Amino acid sequence: MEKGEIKAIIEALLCLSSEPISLEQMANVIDEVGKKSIKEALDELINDYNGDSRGVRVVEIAGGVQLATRPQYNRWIKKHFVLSSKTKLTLPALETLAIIAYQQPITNPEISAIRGVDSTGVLKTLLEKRLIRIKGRKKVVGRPLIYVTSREFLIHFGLKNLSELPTLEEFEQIITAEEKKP
Amino acid sequence: MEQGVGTEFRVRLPAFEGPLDLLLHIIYTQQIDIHDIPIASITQQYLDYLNLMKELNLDIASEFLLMAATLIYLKSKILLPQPLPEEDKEEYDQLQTELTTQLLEHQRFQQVARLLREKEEESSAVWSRSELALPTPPRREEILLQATVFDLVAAFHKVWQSKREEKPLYLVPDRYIIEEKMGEIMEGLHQKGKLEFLQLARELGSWEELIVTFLALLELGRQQLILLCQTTRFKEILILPHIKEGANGDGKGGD
Repeated sequence: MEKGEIKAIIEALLCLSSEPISLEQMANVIDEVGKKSIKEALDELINDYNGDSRGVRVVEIAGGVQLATRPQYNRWIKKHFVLSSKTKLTLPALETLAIIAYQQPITNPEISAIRGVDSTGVLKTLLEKRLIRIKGRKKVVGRPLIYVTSREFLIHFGLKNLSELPTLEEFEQIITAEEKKP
Repeated sequence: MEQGVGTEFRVRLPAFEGPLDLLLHIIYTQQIDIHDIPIASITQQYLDYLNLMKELNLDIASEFLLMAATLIYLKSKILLPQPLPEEDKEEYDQLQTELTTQLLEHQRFQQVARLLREKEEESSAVWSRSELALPTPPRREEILLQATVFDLVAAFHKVWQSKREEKPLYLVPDRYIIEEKMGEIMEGLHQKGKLEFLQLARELGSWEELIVTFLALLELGRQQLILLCQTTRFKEILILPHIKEGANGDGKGGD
């Protein structure tokens, strides 16, 4: 199969999909060719789309790829479609998510210790918004619930995967650099 | 001399999430080196803020008072004739290091939170088909129907009946907790990918446990942590993790 054809199939799949599609899923569908050729075709497609004259682009998100509109056309999209505004999280919620994202799996007492305040309410909100999920219970006294971030979390922040976030050491450097500024 | 905080524009007091938040705020505004906090002056300012909050009739959570106590304790150590006895010195150093570490950690996560806010801002103007379309049902070997609460009740009744027939009634001192059961079910789901309701119910020892399991299933369903499905109406009810859970990178891609 030609690369051009593979690209076209991927494009067709992406056009109709309401979820990010992973490379594995594509390989299952286009089973005539190997994963390597699919990856190459996909990379080319991403490049094609990321030329600046298009209204949509192929974004890598939550372990897959997806067609998404470019932010600068938000205004016109909202004029045509009835879209509910996306949730804006509060600072405590973001802070709690940040802790979970970096320290997961983690329990409520551990989170509260870092934040210096009780986090039960925030955790409940995050669970309701499905940005985190319960992964079981920690085998210590009181058997507290263990929290991890969900796939929804990656989608909400437009992240490819967790490793896209800078490491805590890198943050340390950012902070020190800022402190050195006059 | 140090000026008392915010004597003129009291209304503009930012809402502090907790004592660490407040301390960091003081550190920023006073441009204090976080690695070398002047305990005496920072304690004073911290208490000034607490007084201000009291005047404004803001609820002061107990965490704020705990931090105040720690600070005052630290300050009291400095006021003692120097040099301090060895063990006092050690305790002082330890408490101060602890406080610094906590503040640094808190500061770091505040930074991460700010990054997340930027990312959220960026992606709030980006739209994909998922925001328009209804979620597509998961593709699995069997076609699944969403089971209703009534199916669950019917299945429960079936097990109840069979238990009634096969076992004599005796009182069991065991106590089961719904939340614990919920955890067990989620753990089971995590390991096996799916559970069958009837099988799950048959393994249970007592009516009490059965009832608690039933309530746990209802609660998990309500919190959208599980899906209850049937291959056909009136058939076996399957318990599955909720769709959104699947590909979360823990190597459990069941599809």
